[in-house]
Amino acid sequence: MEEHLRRLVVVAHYDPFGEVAPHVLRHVAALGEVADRLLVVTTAALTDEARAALGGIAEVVERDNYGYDFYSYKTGLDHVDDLTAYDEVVVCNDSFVGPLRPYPAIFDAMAGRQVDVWGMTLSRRRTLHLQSFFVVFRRWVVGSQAFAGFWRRMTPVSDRREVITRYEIGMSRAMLEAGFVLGSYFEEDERDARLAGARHLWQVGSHVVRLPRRRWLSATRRLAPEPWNPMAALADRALDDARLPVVKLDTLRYDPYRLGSDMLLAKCEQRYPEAFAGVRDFLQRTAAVYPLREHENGPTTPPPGVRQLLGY
Amino acid sequence: MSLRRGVRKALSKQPVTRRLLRQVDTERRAAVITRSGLFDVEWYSLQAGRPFPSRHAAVADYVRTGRLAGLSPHPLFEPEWYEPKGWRDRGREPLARYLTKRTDIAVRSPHPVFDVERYVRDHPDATEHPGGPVGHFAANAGADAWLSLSHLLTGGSGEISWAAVQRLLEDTVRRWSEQQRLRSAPRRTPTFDTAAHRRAVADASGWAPPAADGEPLVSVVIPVWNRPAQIRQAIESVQRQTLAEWELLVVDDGSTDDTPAVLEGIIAFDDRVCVLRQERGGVSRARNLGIEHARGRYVAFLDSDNEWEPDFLRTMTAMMERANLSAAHGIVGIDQAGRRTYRVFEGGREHLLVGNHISLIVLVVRTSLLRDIGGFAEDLRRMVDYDLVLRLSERSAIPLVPVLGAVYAEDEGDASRITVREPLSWDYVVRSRHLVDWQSARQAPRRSGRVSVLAPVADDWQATQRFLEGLLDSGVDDLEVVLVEGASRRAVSVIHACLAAAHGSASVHRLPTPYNTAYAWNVALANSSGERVVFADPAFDLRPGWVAELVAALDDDDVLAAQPLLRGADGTIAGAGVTFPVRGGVPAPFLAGHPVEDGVAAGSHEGRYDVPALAGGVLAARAADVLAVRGLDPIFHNGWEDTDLSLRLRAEHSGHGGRGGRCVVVTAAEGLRTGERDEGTSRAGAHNLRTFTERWSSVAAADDSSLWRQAGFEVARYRADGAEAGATPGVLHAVTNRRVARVTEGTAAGLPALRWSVKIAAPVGQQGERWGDWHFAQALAAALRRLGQQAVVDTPESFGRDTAYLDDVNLVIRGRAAVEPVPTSVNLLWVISHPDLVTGTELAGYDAAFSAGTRWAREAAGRAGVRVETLLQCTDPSRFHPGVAQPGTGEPVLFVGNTRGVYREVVHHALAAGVDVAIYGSGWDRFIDPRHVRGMRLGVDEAAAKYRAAGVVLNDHWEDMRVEGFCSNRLFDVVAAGGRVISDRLDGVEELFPGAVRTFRDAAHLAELLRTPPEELFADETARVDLAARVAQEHSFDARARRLLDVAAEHRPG
Repeated sequence: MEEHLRRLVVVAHYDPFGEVAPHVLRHVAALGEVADRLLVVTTAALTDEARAALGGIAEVVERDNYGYDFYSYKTGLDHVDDLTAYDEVVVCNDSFVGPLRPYPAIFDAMAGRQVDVWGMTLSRRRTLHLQSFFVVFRRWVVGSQAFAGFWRRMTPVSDRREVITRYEIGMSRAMLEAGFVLGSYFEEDERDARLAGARHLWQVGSHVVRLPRRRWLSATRRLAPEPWNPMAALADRALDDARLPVVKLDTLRYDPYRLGSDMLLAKCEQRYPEAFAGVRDFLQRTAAVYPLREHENGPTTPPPGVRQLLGY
Repeated sequence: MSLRRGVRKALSKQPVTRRLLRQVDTERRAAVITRSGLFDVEWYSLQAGRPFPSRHAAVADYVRTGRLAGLSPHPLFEPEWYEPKGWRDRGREPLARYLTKRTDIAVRSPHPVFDVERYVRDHPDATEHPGGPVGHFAANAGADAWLSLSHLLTGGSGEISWAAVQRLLEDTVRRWSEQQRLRSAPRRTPTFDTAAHRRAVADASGWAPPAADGEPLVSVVIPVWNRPAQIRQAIESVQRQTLAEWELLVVDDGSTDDTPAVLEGIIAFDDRVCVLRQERGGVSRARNLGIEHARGRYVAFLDSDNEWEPDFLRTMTAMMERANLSAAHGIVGIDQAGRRTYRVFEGGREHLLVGNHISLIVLVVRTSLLRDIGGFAEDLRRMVDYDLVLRLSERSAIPLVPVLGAVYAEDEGDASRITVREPLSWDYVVRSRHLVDWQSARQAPRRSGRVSVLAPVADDWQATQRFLEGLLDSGVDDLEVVLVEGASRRAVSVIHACLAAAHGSASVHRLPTPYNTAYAWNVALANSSGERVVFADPAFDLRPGWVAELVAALDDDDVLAAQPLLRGADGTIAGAGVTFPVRGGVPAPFLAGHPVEDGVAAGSHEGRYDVPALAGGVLAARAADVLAVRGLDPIFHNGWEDTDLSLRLRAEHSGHGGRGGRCVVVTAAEGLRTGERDEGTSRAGAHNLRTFTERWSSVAAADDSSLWRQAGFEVARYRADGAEAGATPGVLHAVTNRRVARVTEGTAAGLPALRWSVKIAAPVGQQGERWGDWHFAQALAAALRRLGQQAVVDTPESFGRDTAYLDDVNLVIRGRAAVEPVPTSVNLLWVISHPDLVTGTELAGYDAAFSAGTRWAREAAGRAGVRVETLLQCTDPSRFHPGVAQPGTGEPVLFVGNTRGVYREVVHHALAAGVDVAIYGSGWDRFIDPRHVRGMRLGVDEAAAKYRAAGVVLNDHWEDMRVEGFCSNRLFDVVAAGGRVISDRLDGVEELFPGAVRTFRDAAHLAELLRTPPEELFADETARVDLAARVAQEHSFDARARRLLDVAAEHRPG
């Protein structure tokens, strides 16, 4: 895997104000380093300024705002005549801050790994799947019937949960059923797993106690066996020499595990001042557009003991 | 006695006492047997396959287990022969029974070669011997004693020396024992030697493979087709091998899913893995492509759904290199239905020929050897591994290396597995290839003029006995019979050997495993020497002389194959050739379900007719022709193999240079299925038909309407049936019509030419053909045909046949049971016997009823309020006429008839009066001095001559028949032959036959009549010849047929 690999990158972008946030622009530029062709598919009504900024570093495809990021991925892939001309096809979105490590280093590390499809993280929630904010397909996968069929059969879906079921989880299922092997750049070690397990229990418990007493049992039964979401439960691994080289904006915005995401943001700003420049501002500016969802909290400050033991 | 039995019964109800009782029984029986001297330890050891320390131990073993396994205690005592049904009963042991229950010891034969009645006649004191007559023989006979074989086959002859019998029995049992040893080898066991496994692995762990300049030591070949999910596991198990010097050749057999993409992903990371691609060509071609590209010194095979244990390749190759082996195999574990067994058996080629004990996925072979034998057979769709192993075993030993190579699950339900999709009969295809050497079979000389009858025989030795009896008087000068047995029970083998010896020109070939018909026929063919061969089946009861009739058809050079008319168990036609009226190779069995007369009609021109292909299970051909096409194809499992053969023979001889070829059905040769041929499961049937239509889909469709017309029918359309749900094609049945024309010539001119079904009570087959009803119906049917009618005879088995819709007239000759009228026919009932069983309701269901009794006709008609016409019995003047013999040259007083269990009065009174009555008939032994019985059975023509020649013929009636005025047909026959009869009293009979029949009132009157010279009682010769002519005119079958026709025509609708 030492020879030059031809790479196509499709980025899904959305901004409620038609802008391109600074961290997004930096990310697209970083992708430019590893991409032979770089497409940004945006569902934002871009301002001229934003369009000019993006157009300077990538091909921009504008489309109406429906179908979430997956439909933007599909639009981008459909835009390219011959996908099999590339050794790797990357799809990613703008929902995170990073990379906190240079992309060439990340791709080089993955070059020797015997996997067919890979992402930043593998989640076991519901069933084993690659988290769809960043996924890389290798040449033989791009040429497969499973890959072509998955994108061909895709129709726009406007419900977030359904997008997750049908497309995020569905994509991994389609790949596994075709016989392909999934892998991730970030690999949990035993320590990670122990910590994430404890954090997950805390999250479940703190959620359940806020419910009416009669729902405790059923809620616990429903939530406790679910594995954790690594992007939230181990978000601070970004600080561990960027082993997890991205931070999801959702983690900062909603703090789903009640681990003190304000603290996380502060630490990140301190550790990666360039990468996080403008992020706090972006979160504040867009807060009104991203209301709280079920099981989510907004930035919290956990009690001191918990904070010390489990917090970010 | 009954008290003892009661006590035994009570004791045997409790488990403890039952066991005790059994123990006592065992001891008692063993003691009786030991004392008798009728136990041969050497003979018994040979069968048991092991020695015994003492006579006592051997006898005890026999009584406890050996006899239940079918072993024989003495060469001249065959339990299954002695007790064909009960030999397996726990409660009775045949030999002890023979020795202790001596009531039938002088008549019941203990062994096929021992004619006990004859021996006791010659040695009356033999019954007193402790070992019975057979013990007496064994104790006194020298090697030069002779044993008769004539009792074994009715009509058989021949003798055999005691020494020859001993050789024959010993050879048979020795061969059986050897095959039994091979069959019962432990090919699968629940455990394996784990210590040996560990040692072998440890031995190999330090072994350094020879340096090979970067070339691999082993080339692993995995064929794959559409298994993207499992193939990775298989490949990873290769990558995990502790031996590093391998290359992996994955051969993609034209996968249509993402298997190629998955493989591409794998080879991207491991350059020891190489993917070869081919168009879909089957697993054998895929493996052969792998062998072709192999660079290693050895090749090992793995399947895409199996995984190796990590030490497998290293341990195998270490052992093979050290011992310089060309081929070897490891152990495999098989999980099936929750149980694990191991194939951990080391056997030789003789074991392999009986059954495979080597799994391909643990077989390692030197590449050069694989290339020498040409790799896998690409024309096999199953059992390719078995075939390969068999071919390897011709060239090399294949020892076992005690290493567990793989464990796999045998999941019966996986529809994608070959084992489910393809029929089991591939096994017979492979066996046939390895056990039949076609090359030398073709080169072996064949005896000109000799006919070889080839037949697989099953464990039903009584069927074999009947079959051989039918071949004693075959009408062929030089006849040879080759029987093929497959894994028969020991006793069956022995009995078959004796039967073959009794036949004189028969031999038995013993296969170590069960067979299907095609495979057995191939083996028989290769072991035969006749110029012409007949593929036969003992399940059919064929008419005497059938072989000669059949092979005579081959006198025509352009006839390639001939078959008899074959009837199913119900008597209707099951095999009369097939046609292909539509395209696509879907066969239409000609005349299936029709009465046999329709087949005879189709061949009325020359006694045979041409068909596109044969079918049914009996076929004659020239040996050279069949050998040239490599015999029958065992892929057809007990069905369609003969059809396939006839088509291949025709294909071989068509086109330029071929002599062209016909297939004919010989209607004079006819057979009835009496036994069941193992038809296999319905799946085998579907497989057969699918294989057949796939192979012959391009066979030309040909209009078969002229063939049907020959039989008297017009085809309206074809109906497909036998089709399984899904795509399996069925067979076609012709839906026919028969136009009713007018009779154009003869006395019936102008009347409709109807189709008649004459229904009789006699059962189908030889037994029923001895019934008077059967002859009566045949003669009547012949008379109807002379009137331009079409007539068939149905027995109860075929009363409800599918083709009944074709019959215009349903004529029931009433027997003991009532017969349902057919709503679509004119229904006629003719009561010729058992009038008391006929009810008014039954009579009312018919369009017209007839009675052979005048009085009953009147009375029944009165009771039921329906018209019953008198239609007397009758005779066949072509058989019974005064020209058959000279009067007064035969028996002075003659009686022809069986007792049917009663001492018939006319005979009783005549003998009591001191008259010497000559009797022909069976069942008389119980009642009279046997010297009166001159014969058991008389043919029709013999009876006619005897009647004519006799001084006087005695006659009587069943009492109910006499009272109701049912004049017996014997009276008509005797008078038509110009004979004289003294009969019991029946109203009007003397008036009916004036001067030819006198009746007696009682015993004294009969005695008086018999004392009177016949000339005084009867009219003179001239008057009787005149009377015979009148009977022929008025009371013939022709006369009766004419009356029935008139009535039927009257009742015909429209």
